[in-house]
Amino acid sequence: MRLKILLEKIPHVVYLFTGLIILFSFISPNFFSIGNLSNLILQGSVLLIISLGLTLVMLSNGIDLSVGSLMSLCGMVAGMSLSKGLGLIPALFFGILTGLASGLFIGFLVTRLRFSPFIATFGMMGVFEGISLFSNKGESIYWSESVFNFIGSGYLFNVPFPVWLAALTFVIVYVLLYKTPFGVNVYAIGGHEEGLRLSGVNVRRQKIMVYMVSGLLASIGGMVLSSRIASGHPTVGIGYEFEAIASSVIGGTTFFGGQGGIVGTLFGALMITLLRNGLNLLGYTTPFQYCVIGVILAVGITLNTLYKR
Amino acid sequence: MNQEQGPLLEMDGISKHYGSVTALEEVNLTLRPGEVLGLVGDNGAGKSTLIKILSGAITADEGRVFFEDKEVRIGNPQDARNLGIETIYQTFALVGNLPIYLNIFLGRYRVKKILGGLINILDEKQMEKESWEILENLKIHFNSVREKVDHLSGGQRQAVAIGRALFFNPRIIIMDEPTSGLAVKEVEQIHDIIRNFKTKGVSIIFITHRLQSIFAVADRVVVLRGGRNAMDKRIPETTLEEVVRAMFGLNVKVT
Amino acid sequence: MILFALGLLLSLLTPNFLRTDNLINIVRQAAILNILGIGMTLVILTGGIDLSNGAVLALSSCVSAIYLKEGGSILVGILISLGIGLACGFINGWMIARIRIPPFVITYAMMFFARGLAYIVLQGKIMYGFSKTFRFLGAGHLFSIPTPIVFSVFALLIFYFLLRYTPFGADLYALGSDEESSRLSGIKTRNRMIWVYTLSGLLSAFAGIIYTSRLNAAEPVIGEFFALDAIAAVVLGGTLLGGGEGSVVGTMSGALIITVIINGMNLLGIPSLLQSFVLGCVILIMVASQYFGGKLRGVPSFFKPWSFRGA
Repeated sequence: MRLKILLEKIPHVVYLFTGLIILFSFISPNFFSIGNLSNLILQGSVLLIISLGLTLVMLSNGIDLSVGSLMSLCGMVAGMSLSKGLGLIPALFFGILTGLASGLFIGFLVTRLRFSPFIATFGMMGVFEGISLFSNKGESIYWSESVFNFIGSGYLFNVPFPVWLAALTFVIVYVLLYKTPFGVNVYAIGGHEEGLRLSGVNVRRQKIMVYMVSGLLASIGGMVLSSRIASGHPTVGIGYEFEAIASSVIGGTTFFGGQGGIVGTLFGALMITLLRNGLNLLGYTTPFQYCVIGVILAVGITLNTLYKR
Repeated sequence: MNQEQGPLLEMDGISKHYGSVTALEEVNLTLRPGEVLGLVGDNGAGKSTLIKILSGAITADEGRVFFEDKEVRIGNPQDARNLGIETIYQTFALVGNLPIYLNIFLGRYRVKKILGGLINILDEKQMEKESWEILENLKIHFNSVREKVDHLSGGQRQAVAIGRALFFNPRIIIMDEPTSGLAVKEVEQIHDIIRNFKTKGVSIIFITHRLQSIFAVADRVVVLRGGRNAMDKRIPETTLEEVVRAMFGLNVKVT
Repeated sequence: MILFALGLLLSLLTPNFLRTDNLINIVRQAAILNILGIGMTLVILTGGIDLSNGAVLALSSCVSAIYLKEGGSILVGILISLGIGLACGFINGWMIARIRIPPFVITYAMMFFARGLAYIVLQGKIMYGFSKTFRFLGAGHLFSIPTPIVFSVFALLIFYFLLRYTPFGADLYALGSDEESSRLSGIKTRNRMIWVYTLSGLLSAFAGIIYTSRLNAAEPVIGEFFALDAIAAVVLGGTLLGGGEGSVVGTMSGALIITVIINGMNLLGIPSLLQSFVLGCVILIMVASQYFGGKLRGVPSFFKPWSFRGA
């Protein structure tokens, strides 16, 4: 009986994910190697980090289209600090500060000026992209050898550092979401915002904090990414916002808030990374990958939805 | 009420499951022309499910429905309407964003044909006119039929829902909790409306928790308990106590 | 009207703005966005969204380009293109209405799928050099009005009529406002949803024809951000993302606003690096001014369905 309850709690994406892994293992012998799997997890780390932020936002009935360009921006900011000779700590500091500040601003737009999250983050997406491009005239920023590169390329006990970061982030967000009042409020805003407001909770502040967390996670993701390519690239984050949203949605989080969870997002992110990775391995060129990703996405969600009935 | 006529409606062996939960199990219901039927039961007994099957909002897993002795399939709300079954849901099923006159004609708008009958366009003037007439008859005050339903009071919204059901000359009207949240005077108004329907020969099924209403206006009462038939009797032949006992399956002393 | 204010501002800032050929240029460039926006308006009105517009545009134009280059008739080429748009849209709509997949997900998947298919079909090459008759569609003039403008106005009129005056349109507004109540009231919600996405796909393909014709080239990479731009135009035009309220005329002004801004930036010599920044800022400022200035009065109430003159 307990097992049944446990089974029912597992997001369906897990089954899908497992199925895909099995499928890919059959098709390509290289797939199930340690090297490949660890590569997979490494690639998925960045996506997971920002997807977590996006899941929080979506749970509280919002959306954040700006995370991708915010990632680029934070990478640029960190890069600029480094290239000017500032050390690791200042670079991290400024990068994170950028993320937090953006989240604060977006939160302000959404709560005080009553912007729809879509428009607010859509606009900011353009703003961030523009700033990123303009700050170095459209070119990447490079810096001399620095500890910063460890973030993206270093290993700790043989496990890549980004993976540690992602795991740590996951644990922290998990605790935040499921064990703290903050987390309860996140779900509540998504479900019954009005009821929550009437219960005396400062919904405005909550929402702003959610966007700040999203900004924070985007900044971390952006810096990891920059670290990996050892440069600050102004458009490195483009497209990530959609993948992050897709990860959350596949993982069971809906757009209307109140439903979903980060365990699902974890597997959603892994799944998207898996799709890309697996298809690469199978030698399919990018365009074909696109097609297949689309189909698999559709199939997966179909099964998911049908099974729920 | 015509006792010699055969039943207008017969629901036979209706079952409905939601996963492992059984909402209805082999439920039967009959309704005669011009009869007012009260459908009662505890929360979760299956009353709403049963009428939703009749109104086409959901479909039954098993069972058959007969209308005027012919078997019918009610697969969607439009099928029910085509048979002359109109439903007034507890939440009224009105679209708040739209004006009254469109809500009255939701899904079956009055149209004008243009271009030689090729294209249908909305005949808004006609709908406004007819809406006004319907609502006037219900004796509830409205400023304009162009008002968005959102802006109306609860009582006005109910009037719109009732007006909508009434307008299309239904054979059967289903009312889900028509008196919930109403003051005593308003409850009496609903009773009058039901009696009014009855004189027009319309059959009525209404769900309620207010057992006094059943005894005030109904001809017959059907009790559901745990998704099954628990009682089916004519009002003169039963008592409040008996109904309550059937609802809860206990020997309850009603004081 | 915001459009006027913008126009005024720009004409002050640069003398070139008010030149006739510039203004015509603007309207012509906005035409494609407009057509896509109409499809997007329909979808958003019902509370959904369509991310696949750009990809479907690319796919439909690539496929028909191949056909046309092989010397096929233009009529058939157009039909092929429209057919593809229709099919993609239908798939979207069917999945959303019948299998209840969230619109974001399925149109996102379709975006990938169509984009990939476009690449495969053209094998990464570019097709260019179409027949003169075909080029007329996008680059010609009808009574000295550029054809894209003619087509977009045509589409606008048809869909305005559809939304404002027909039962179908009324159903869409109801569906977008309250899907369950609409369903209970007998509106064929699933049917309407399928139609809406199908029309969106059709319009994407239609826009694709004009776009390809104008560029005189078809390649799989076109339309990358069109869907987002279309959404922006729709939202700027007053349509609510949650559905149930909005109009195609509003979307047209939204499309024009965006195009005017881009045009203005070009005229003022703002470097392209900064353009997305400026666009983003302007969108934010405009929406903010909505908040400060009361309801968006960009669309005269005559055009907004269900707003009543003198209720």
